[in-house]
Amino acid sequence: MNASIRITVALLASALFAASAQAATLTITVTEIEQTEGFVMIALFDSAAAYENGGEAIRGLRVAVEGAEVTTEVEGLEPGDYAIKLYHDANGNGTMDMNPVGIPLERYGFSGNKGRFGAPPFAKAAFTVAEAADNETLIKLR
Amino acid sequence: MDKRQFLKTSLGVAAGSMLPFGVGARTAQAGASTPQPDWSLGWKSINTDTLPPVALSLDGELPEALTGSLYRNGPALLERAGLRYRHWFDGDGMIQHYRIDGQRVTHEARFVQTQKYLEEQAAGRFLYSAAGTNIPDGEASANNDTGNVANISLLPWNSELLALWEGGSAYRIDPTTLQTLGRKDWRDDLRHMPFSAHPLRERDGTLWNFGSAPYAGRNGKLFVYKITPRDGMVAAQPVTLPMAGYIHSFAMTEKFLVFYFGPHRFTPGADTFVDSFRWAGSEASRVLLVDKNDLTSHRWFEAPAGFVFHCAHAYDEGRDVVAQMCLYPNADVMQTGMVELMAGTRGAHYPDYARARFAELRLDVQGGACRSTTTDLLMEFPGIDARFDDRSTSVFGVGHSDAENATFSDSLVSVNPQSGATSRFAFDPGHIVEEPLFVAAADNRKTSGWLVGTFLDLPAKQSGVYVFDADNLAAGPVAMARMQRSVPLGFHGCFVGAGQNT
Repeated sequence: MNASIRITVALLASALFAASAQAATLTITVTEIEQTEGFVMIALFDSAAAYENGGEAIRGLRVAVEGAEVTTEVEGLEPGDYAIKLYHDANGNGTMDMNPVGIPLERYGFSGNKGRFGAPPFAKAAFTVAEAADNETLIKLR
Repeated sequence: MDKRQFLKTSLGVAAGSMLPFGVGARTAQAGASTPQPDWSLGWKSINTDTLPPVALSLDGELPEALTGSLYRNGPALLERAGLRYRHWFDGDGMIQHYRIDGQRVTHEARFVQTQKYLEEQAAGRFLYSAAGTNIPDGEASANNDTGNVANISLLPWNSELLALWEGGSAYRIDPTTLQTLGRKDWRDDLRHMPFSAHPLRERDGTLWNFGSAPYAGRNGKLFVYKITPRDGMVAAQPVTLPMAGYIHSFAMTEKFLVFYFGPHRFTPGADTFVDSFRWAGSEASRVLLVDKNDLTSHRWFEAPAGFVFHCAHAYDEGRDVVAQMCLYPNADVMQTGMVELMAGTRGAHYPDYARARFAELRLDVQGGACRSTTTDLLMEFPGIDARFDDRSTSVFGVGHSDAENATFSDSLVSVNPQSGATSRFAFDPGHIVEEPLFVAAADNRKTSGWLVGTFLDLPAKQSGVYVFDADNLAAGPVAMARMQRSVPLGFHGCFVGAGQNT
């Protein structure tokens, strides 16, 4: 877990204008939210290089928390393999807060829900988005 | 003739004059040819949430003034659903509470209701990997408290007990009911920080402690904590280290905090946290002095390679700082010894490499030199009479006799570092002796205080409490209390006197 999960305003802006004619849509559901406040900050990656080395996400989403789950859709994705890092920005400060050791103070998750400590590698977090299919991924906060 | 003297005399003829009542009674059956008792009782899992109160049977006479609670912590749930932990560090912490009222001793126990314990109770199996055991198909750990077992020690703090681990937070415990009151978060920004099980207290109530994060950054990080009863955590000073090593306790003088890092290097990538440490015996140990008045002031020293779990006492003497500790020649006790004990494969004498000896380090604060003196005295689980802050205070601990078939800690020992005088009492074969706690006598005319602790009698399958006169260890216990059940061996505890505000 590191600063790469942070989602910038620029990414959020690019996400708004990214809709295109590409067919695939992804539904992301985040569960086990404990505090009904703040936002779930979602970073979507399409490569191991970006996911594992702190590179830029291809989409960033900021979804308001109104219950124990949030669901959101990402449209216009090219078919292929993707992975997600996300955290619950409960205090809405736009940062995943950490203690001085670097341990997250806010809850977080990864697609695939794998990994004993910290982020699993892309290969374990990746899921496939196909054209004209119900593409869904469920991520549990930890 | 008091009862104790009578018992000693009546039983002592055949058993030897140094043997006390009760203990000596069994000596007649326990000759040199006695087979090694089954040590595995010391690591037998408890799988009920509580142990109901029972009264202990008493030999000898409890000192009238000795009233209060002996609390002990240790790993007690060691297997679930057919899976047994590999390492002694791993088990869920259970609090043993012995109430001593001057006439009777009673015992009850309750597991610390950590988040991990509650989740695994509900699931009926281990969910999270432990310090020394990888759980196949385990759940992900969110932070340092996911696998927190709160199993090392207990600290009286602001009318509560804190059940201490070292990898993450302490848990708050009600000292009367033993119920868990929640996680201890000293400050919101310091949640989930490592917090050692061996904090040290000033006379004014200020508490010092540290958190070790060998996995943080290139060489790991140490955090030095200063806590006051009124303001809580007032400092959490990070210290940059020359190498990432294992550290379990520290020592304190009037001026300095003393940290000993053996060359037991953290090397990420192993299956478990414990297995991530590699002994690098060709390298030096590093000793750190932190100035209590300026936590950013750090002095480093080199000492011969060695491994330490427990520091004893430390004091300023002229230009020097002297720190006492129980020193192992290497870290085998942590890497293999504790695995063998859990597995029940250690059937013979405890091997020499796993024996700690009482040692002193003398640090020349200005000159930077470090002199190390290791005695022949085998000692672990050290304690002191903390009313004294110089070399005159004796150090107490558990030791190891030369008896055939001796368990790894069958004796109580003490050493006066000033005179070099040592004293010991060896329990009968089959006894494992646990940490002695010094309890100061309110009335100093007869004794400076008592040594109170627990033991496990393997052949009798009984756990109990011993009480010794701290000034006369060799005379044997003044009282021993036993119950018709045993509890697993634990690590550390505390004594809270009746009416004493924790």
